[in-house]
Amino acid sequence: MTIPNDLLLEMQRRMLRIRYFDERASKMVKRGEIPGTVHTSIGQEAQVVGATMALGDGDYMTGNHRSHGHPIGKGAALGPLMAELVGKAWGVCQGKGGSMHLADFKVGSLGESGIVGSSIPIATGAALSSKVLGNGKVSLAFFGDGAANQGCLYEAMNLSSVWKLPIVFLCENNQYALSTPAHTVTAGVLANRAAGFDMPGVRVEDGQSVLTVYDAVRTAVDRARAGQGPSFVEVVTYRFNEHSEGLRLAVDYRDADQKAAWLKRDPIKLFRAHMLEQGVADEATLAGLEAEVMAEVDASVQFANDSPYPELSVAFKDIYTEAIGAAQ
Amino acid sequence: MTIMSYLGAIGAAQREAMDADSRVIIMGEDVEANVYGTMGGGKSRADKGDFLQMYGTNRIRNTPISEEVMVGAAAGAAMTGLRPIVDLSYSTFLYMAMDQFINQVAKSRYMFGGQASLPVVFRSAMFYGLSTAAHHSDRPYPMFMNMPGLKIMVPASPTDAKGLLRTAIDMDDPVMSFEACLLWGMKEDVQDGEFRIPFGVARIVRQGTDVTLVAISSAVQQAILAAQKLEAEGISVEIIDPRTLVPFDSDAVLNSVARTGRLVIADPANRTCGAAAEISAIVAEQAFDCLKAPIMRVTTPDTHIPFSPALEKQLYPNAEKIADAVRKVTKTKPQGH
Amino acid sequence: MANIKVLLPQWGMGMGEGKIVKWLKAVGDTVAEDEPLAEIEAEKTTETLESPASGVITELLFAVDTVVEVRTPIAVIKIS
Repeated sequence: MTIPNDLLLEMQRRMLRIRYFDERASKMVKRGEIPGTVHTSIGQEAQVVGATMALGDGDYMTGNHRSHGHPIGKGAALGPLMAELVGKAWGVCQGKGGSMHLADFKVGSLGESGIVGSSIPIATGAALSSKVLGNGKVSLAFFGDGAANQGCLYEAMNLSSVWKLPIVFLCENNQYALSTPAHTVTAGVLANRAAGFDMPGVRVEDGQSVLTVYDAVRTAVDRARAGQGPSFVEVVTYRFNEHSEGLRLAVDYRDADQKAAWLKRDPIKLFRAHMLEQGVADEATLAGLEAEVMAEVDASVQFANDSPYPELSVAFKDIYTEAIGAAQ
Repeated sequence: MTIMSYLGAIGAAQREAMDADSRVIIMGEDVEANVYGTMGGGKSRADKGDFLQMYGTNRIRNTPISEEVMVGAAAGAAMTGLRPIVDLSYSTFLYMAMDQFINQVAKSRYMFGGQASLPVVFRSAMFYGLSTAAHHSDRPYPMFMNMPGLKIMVPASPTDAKGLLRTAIDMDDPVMSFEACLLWGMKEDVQDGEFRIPFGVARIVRQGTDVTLVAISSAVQQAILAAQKLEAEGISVEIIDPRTLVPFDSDAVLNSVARTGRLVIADPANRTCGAAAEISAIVAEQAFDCLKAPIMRVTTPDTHIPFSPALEKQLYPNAEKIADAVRKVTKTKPQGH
Repeated sequence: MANIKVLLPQWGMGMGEGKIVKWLKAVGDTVAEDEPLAEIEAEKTTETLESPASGVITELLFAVDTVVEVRTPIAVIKIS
């Protein structure tokens, strides 16, 4: 499919946003400015953005602990995301969610779940509501190779297929569930499980190519929107950093040669080269884009720093729509 | 007024809600065939009032046996514009979906800073007292009381079932409805037309002066029988049915104990950390000086439910055990001893 | 010009504390981001703590051989 240049530039913009945001977040964790830890999507930007940009603005999405890329890829504002990471009042979840539980309902991001796989039924429900209401929206569930062995995925695939729900199951296969290589705990090929549930299953071998990912996911999204039901897209990719920032495991669980090979395939560098080569944009435009996005990330950190911390009363808010009595 | 059974009242509430708002849907196992009697008129698809005929398969949906995705999808649908009612058949099956109940349904509004609204109702039947043994007979509402974010109703009459369910469907918080099978056939006059009973407001089933008797679910009927017997012995018992456990009408109980000075709680859940334990703690903390006797709980003991009726029938709170507890706190002896 | 605190990181899920085995820089030294700053013994292995920022070291808060809880500030860098 031919994609207009401005859309291609937007893809690069969002990949850069994820990269610079996550690199900054990683630094902030090291300095103790972000409490707890973060799980970055560095190296996986094409896999995320190829998928999120195949969705429309009104479409829905859920994800997991490796979360920042998802709302960023779907167009969320960076300031409230950064403020959320530092637990401030202006955070997108008012400081109540933190890195692992980002959500920005304004852009259809219905929530990242700290329990892997647990948000897949939620995305299935969003697809159910669009089916019942007939509003044409599509839903996409992000989950990793680790979550892909959770039972609820298969319940969701079965139900979506039987009810022909407009959903895309997007497996972010970065080949390791924390320290566990996916192939040692996974029977067969993940994408092949789709056929058992009567839906197309596609395995994108080169998850570092944003256009390849976009193509596969767009096909699935269009199929869903046309009322033909769910699809399973498995995207093979690689996280460049450790499972979580600051984690240092005693054992070297990733093969050095494999790592070196994947690190050479930086999705942002690859797409940059592609755009120059194809004449989509010149050096000045691309450098300008990088500077713009860096400034956005700087501004998001400033926004987070400017924000106050939440008042204690916020801890007791939104347990229910209205307080029902002495919670404390 | 119309005579309605408990199940019929639930069906009536569901029908009103389905008629009033096209965003209400019903999903669950066996809902299309009205297996549990809450989905229609009678025994035939062609009967007047059959839900599938009236509302069609878009809004009445048989699900596979997949509790996790049933619960999670209902939550996701509720966040995005529907108002689902989920029939989970039996309460002992809820555990299959614990992660969704706790980590998604209960927590989403909070974790996401108020962005999520979950107008969803989860109904299940507590199938105890009817020889179905350990995998069908649990009364698990106390487990869910401990998790903030879930509202809980335990209707003990057709009127309450209808009025509370209608409120539950209309509210934007997730609600769990625990319905005792022993009450399914209970019949009474129910007022005509639409009515709603608020959550957090107890029902004074019987007024009295000597003892406050809080009774939950099927224990309400047993409490009434006990109170009648005790009246003949000169003990005046006030029966309070909380109707909802979250929110809980502690004021009603505290005001009553302030007058009577004695509290007995009849709760069919297991003893440890049951609803009775929480109610006891509330009263001990807030009305200690009113108490003339220790608080007593009449609960199912901490055991699983055995199959044999020779065993099972002796385990749940019944009129005799409740009456004994009242006699203990009033330091009276049963007549004829 | 701001000061940032260098925290003892939690490198492993079970890591509760670490021992400062050696300072690789002294007060007054310039340090670059990611340059080795100290050697820390944690869970029976010795790890290198890299500087989280570039600047000048203004304080080293604990002496060698001290055991410190994770996320405790152990040094201060005035960033450039």
